[in-house]
Amino acid sequence: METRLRIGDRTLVVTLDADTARVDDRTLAVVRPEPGPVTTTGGWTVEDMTVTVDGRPRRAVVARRSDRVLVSLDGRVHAFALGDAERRAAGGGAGSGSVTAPMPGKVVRVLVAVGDVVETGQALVVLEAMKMETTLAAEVAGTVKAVHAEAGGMVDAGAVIVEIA
Amino acid sequence: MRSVLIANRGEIAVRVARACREQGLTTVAVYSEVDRDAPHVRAADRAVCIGPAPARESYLRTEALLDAARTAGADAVHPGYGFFSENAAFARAVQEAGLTWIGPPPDAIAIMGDKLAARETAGRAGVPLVPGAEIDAGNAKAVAAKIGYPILVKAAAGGGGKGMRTVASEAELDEALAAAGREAASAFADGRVYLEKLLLRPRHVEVQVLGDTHGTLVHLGERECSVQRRHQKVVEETPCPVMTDALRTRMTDAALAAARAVNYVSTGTVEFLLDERGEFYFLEMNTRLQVEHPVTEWVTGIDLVHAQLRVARGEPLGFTQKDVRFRGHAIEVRLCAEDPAASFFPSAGPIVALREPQGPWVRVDSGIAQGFTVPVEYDPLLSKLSAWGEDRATAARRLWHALRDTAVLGPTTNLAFLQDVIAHEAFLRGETHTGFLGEHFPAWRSGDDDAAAVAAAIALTRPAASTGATTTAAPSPFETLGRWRLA
Repeated sequence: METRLRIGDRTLVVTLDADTARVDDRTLAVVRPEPGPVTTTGGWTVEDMTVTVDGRPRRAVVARRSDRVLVSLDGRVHAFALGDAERRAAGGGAGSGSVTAPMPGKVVRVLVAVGDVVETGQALVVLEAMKMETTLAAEVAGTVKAVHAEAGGMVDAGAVIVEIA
Repeated sequence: MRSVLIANRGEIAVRVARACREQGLTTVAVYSEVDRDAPHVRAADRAVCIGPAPARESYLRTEALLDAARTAGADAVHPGYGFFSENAAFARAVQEAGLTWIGPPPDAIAIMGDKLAARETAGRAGVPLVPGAEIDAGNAKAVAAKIGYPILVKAAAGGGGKGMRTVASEAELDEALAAAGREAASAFADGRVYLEKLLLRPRHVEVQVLGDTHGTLVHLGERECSVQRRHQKVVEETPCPVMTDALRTRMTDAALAAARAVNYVSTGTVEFLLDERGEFYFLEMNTRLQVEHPVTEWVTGIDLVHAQLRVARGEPLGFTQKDVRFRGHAIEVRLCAEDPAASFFPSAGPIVALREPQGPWVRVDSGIAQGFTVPVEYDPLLSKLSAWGEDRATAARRLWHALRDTAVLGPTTNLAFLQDVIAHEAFLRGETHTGFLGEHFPAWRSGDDDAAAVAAAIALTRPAASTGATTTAAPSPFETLGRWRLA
């Protein structure tokens, strides 16, 4: 059975066989655990499992939803999205001209206006969230095409705040 | 004193409730609308809603807190840390309402809470100070030039790294003054800032003091908290890896002198910067219980919250300096909802799964639970994990294993980052300073693991649970049986 897992901007193809697994072109010896008890929290199904990979037992906590799988393995979280990369995430990833709010917050200051020419790394907007100020910077050089924020206003996570082209 | 209102939330409210219960006191929790299901609410005997999510409309409303105390019949208030813990006006309001304030005298809070008055007081008591100065509207550039760059802009009413900015040159000064002033105004309702010389590669070393109302004032040793991001502590330990008996004597003497200068009572912390030459300078005094107090409890065996409660009741400490013994080494890390791979940007949202570590010499001070939604409105601290060992290496190794046994699914956390920090060879050599993370972890990433992809793929072969989730492919019985049955 083949599973496609997206992490960051890559897609991993995982194929499970009786006692091996292939991750892209790497083959691992895998002893699969019996299904353990699962719990559900807010639409997520959570399972604890010990999976033995290349002879090493690894303890994992796996939470899955229709579109995502979160795996905690030895105290490290790996967040996978399911399916093919049919679209880029709302943030546009590295080097995008769309600058988005990484989480909900208050706009403290807007440092640019439509028509401004900005350089990579230039500060655009100061956001406050969880009592800390964070500066959002331009990932690309270009001209500011739109500003969707004003000082004092609130923005949602993923909202496009500044567009640069 | 029979019933204590805990004017806080999160792990510290849980920890204080536990100590109260152990002393036979009933506890009253307060909560904002988004904290209705928070663990600190469940940890208390009673709970009162004090308003909407924003702290200024709930945890920072004096009237709401005093009303809650009256309604629930509390006769004492414990402020925890943060929020109102270093607010002299609140402490006085508590006392004027006829309630017991579980903390230092309001006058001591007022003096040490004003960083300029604190500097002056400490200086008069003979405590060494970092070169620095006040500024007026117009003279910032001249004052900064006189002190010499790099400098630090700090909030006069500050603490916890809020309202603080590093300035490398004059070109950055105006923006830093404005940003620090705004942050200070929003966090402390006081936008005044001052300038201080920035020491290079200093260690942050602080001394825990504890006093009663009968004239006993002792120190409980030092803590080193150099590993910081955005001037907020991430890793704390005791003893300081480079401490010597002679330096400890000088530093604890200075801390006790500063505390005595304000007639200090209850728990307090005198913070210093220690430079590479072994010289130390007064930074500030925190007039409250400190986040990192567990490491001191580990090595002294003294429960600081129990001591606060006894002192607030007017009882003597029951021990003197010579009774205080230090044993072994303890390290604590702060588990925060933030992304170390993205400038430590805070994260929020529901905790989907939570596995907390257990075992001998491991302590978890937790403020979260599975199903609880981490609100965006407050500090990102989720819990504190600490470990004790007979020596530093043992404590570090034990804590590292405890972190590997921890799982938090939901908001992004710094858990993996913390493991890498305390396993770093420079950390293990004790070579810590306040620029440690910037020097050794400028572009940290968590790293890939094929085993995680395998675990994800296996989970996706399982049938969907009865509610919510759906899997992308219907698994065959062959797959769900698992390999071991087929052998």
